[in-house]
Amino acid sequence: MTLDFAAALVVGALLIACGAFTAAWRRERGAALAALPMLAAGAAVCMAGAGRFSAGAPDPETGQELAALVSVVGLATAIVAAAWARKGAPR
Amino acid sequence: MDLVLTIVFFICAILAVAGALGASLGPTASWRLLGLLAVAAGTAGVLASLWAGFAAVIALVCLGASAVLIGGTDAAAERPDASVRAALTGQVGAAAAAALLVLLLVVAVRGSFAAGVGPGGAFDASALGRLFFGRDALALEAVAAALTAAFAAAAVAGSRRR
Repeated sequence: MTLDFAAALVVGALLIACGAFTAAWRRERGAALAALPMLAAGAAVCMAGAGRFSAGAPDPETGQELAALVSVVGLATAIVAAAWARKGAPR
Repeated sequence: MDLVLTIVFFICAILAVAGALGASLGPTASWRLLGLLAVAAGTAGVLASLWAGFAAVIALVCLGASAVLIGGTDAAAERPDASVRAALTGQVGAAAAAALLVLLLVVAVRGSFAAGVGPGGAFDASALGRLFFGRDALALEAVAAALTAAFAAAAVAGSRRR
């Protein structure tokens, strides 16, 4: 069991698959929103893994940078989605 | 060191995936909130074990905030009479925004950020700062604009709901 690019991609893919499953399976609007952090987390792990294990890259911090940006975009999406869900909820 | 990092990576990966499954299949809102918080903590640990410490901190804050936000929305949908708690949450958010403004002012006035002499530290923050504010400044501005638009949309939606 070694830490390599395949392991990082498998973890990221599992998180993205869980997010897609949640978005497709959950009927309630609030519960389906839980897919957003999972999708962002999976994408961030894939980005960081690609940056960590890319051989000979001129900027090895690029993967870390993209992982941070994807996390912030996930937060922005969650804010909009939560506001949209609360708008339709009963008072 | 590699063995320790490998063990930390797989433990955090198991935590993140188990939290994602818990958030997907959890029967109540509290279980789903706990699962999302586990996703945030596990993802931060995975990123830290991939030598992405700065991204790990960002992911912990952003994914944790997303978890609390979505968990609160989920709980409010289960209990429609949560208007008092929503008002308290708004006041806490306003106080946190004021504290953040004060912190940013202190950093801008008293800190060494403007002089550009900050050390990289354990996170190699200076190299990342060069990427954020130099080569990929447009991407950073786009993400900041998206976050600002999200806050504005949430504020407009909240005011119309009242």
